[in-house]
Amino acid sequence: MESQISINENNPTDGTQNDLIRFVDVTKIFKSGHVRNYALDKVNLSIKEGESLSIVGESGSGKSTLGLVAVNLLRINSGKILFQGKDISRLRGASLRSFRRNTQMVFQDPYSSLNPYNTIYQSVIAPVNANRQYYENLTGEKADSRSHLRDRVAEMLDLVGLTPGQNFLDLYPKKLSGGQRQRVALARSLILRPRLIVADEPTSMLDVSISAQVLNLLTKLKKDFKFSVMYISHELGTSKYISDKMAVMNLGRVVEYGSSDEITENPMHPYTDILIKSMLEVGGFRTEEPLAKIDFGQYNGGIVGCTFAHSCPFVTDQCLKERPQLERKENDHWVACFHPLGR
Amino acid sequence: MSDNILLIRNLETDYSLGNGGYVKAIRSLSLDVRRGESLALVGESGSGKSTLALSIMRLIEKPNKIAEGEIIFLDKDRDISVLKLGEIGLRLFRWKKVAMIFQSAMNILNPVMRVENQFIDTFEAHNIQDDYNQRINKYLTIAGLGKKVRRLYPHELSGGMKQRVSIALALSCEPELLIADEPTTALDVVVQREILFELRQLKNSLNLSIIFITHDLSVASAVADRIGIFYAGRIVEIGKKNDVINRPAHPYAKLLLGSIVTLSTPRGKELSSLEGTPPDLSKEIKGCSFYERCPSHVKQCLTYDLQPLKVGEDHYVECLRAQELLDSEY
Repeated sequence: MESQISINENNPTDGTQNDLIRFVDVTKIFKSGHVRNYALDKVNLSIKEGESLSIVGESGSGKSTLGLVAVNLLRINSGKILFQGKDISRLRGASLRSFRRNTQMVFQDPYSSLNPYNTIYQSVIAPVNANRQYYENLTGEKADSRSHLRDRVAEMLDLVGLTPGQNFLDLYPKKLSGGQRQRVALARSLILRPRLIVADEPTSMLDVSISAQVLNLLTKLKKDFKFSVMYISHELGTSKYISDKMAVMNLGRVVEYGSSDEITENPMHPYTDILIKSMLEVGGFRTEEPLAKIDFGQYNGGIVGCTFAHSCPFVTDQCLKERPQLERKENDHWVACFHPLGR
Repeated sequence: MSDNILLIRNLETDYSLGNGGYVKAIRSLSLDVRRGESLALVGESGSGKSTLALSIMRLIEKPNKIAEGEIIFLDKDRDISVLKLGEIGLRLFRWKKVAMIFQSAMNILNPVMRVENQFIDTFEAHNIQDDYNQRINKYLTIAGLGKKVRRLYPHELSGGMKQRVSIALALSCEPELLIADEPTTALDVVVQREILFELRQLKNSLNLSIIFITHDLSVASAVADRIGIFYAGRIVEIGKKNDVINRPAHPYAKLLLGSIVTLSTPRGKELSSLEGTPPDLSKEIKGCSFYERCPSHVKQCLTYDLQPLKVGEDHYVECLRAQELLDSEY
């Protein structure tokens, strides 16, 4: 099955063995009435073992949809998602469950992602209860004694900074602050030692000082547990802070991909350039120069040319007629644009 | 030297807990807002920054109350004591003297009313009697919108356009002071920049005074002349934008600045982390409210009378050790 996939030199999916997850021409369409909205329009990306990739873009760019299809909470319309080489987009039953153990998600809103009727212990242990045999094989320990499991959960809570963990086990979420809840969500996502964590705007609802704690924690856990991260955010600052790789999305397509330092210092796509110039620094605007207005308007169905053509200051006929493909321009920098900046 | 537009003296705003107790969201706060300046008030959730805005607008409703203090609006010919205004006085004060824009622009617009009718509604409520048409066009243009928006309903507008309509509405009765409470928090970065640019420009062209409330120091520094840092119902540090950002003197301000991530933050750099939680405002706080979380606290902080100390020109800090810490660090 895998041999049918043509490996394009230019795709940021080199098809090597150490790709943990790989998206091949992934397309997701949301229909409303007769309108077909391409939330994902032939997305090609990969995340290697231990690597972290930030997906950035504005609302409606498809970044959250990409996160949901990565953990198979949404089914894709076409394309393939390979996890450790196996296509997961059509899994069902036991094989789907076995995949899900390896990917976990942390959501934006820590107030709705924990069941208010469950104690912290119950929330964190839930994945173990659903996968008891797996957990026993994983840890080489029997998972039948409650006191033993309570110790394990308490250790995990210690690791995410809820110390001492023992004191948190029997609390209900309402006793916890937003930052503490997000720590519980992280503990729950890590208890089965997954290979991939998908974090969808995990700090956007938190205060600045609390967000800093969660970012510090995520950095530390990434080092300790060596999982891969897909960090989804509209905020380029934290995205670059967390990940060495970055993908910029625009209306369902990846328009730029590569090393986050490269992209943020020398953006090649005109859209990325505007995004970066719009970011604020402590001290004020990054630039006083006027920027092109972005107007995505209403799109019905697939877009023939470049998704950014209508707002792009460098638009040509070609951009309206032909879809630019993601092409490698530098060692670690891909862009989908006929007229990339600085080239 | 400075010409003020709003004076706040020893303001105390309490939220009822329902059991006879109160949470003191604003604790004996004093503040001068200068004419023509844009003052950013920065703080985390629960610090009282929005409560201050609501207090100025007199939008605190029973059983919550403004327990103490004075708010004085210095009009051209007379002083208005805001807390003493009656029903009619309030109607003339709100929107004509002080207007407000909110974070959720979508929620302040009536979903079943065309944009132009929302303006007319406002004009009627506030006794504006000149040519409505002209006025609507003028303020839509000022907020960067075209005339065709007039006939649209709110659901036909994007988030950024809705916020522009709410800015146009807020300015349409020609207030002298605009309070903007997190006006760009719900917007994408590109639109956020546009709106902030717009506000900065309007301030200059209309000689508006702006109180800008935000949790984001980078947003504050983009629009503000002065920045005030809120903590536990008080302003713990206030000064010119560059002084507060480059030489923060209050330990809380320092930690807050160290926890911000922008594009220029190096990857993996350990961010300042603020341990603990803010104090319980339903109980009496002795001395400095940051005492328990402060890395530099000393015994004397607990008996500190909260008299702001001057650490530079126009730069005041509510911290006993501010000068000493500044000297040792910069």
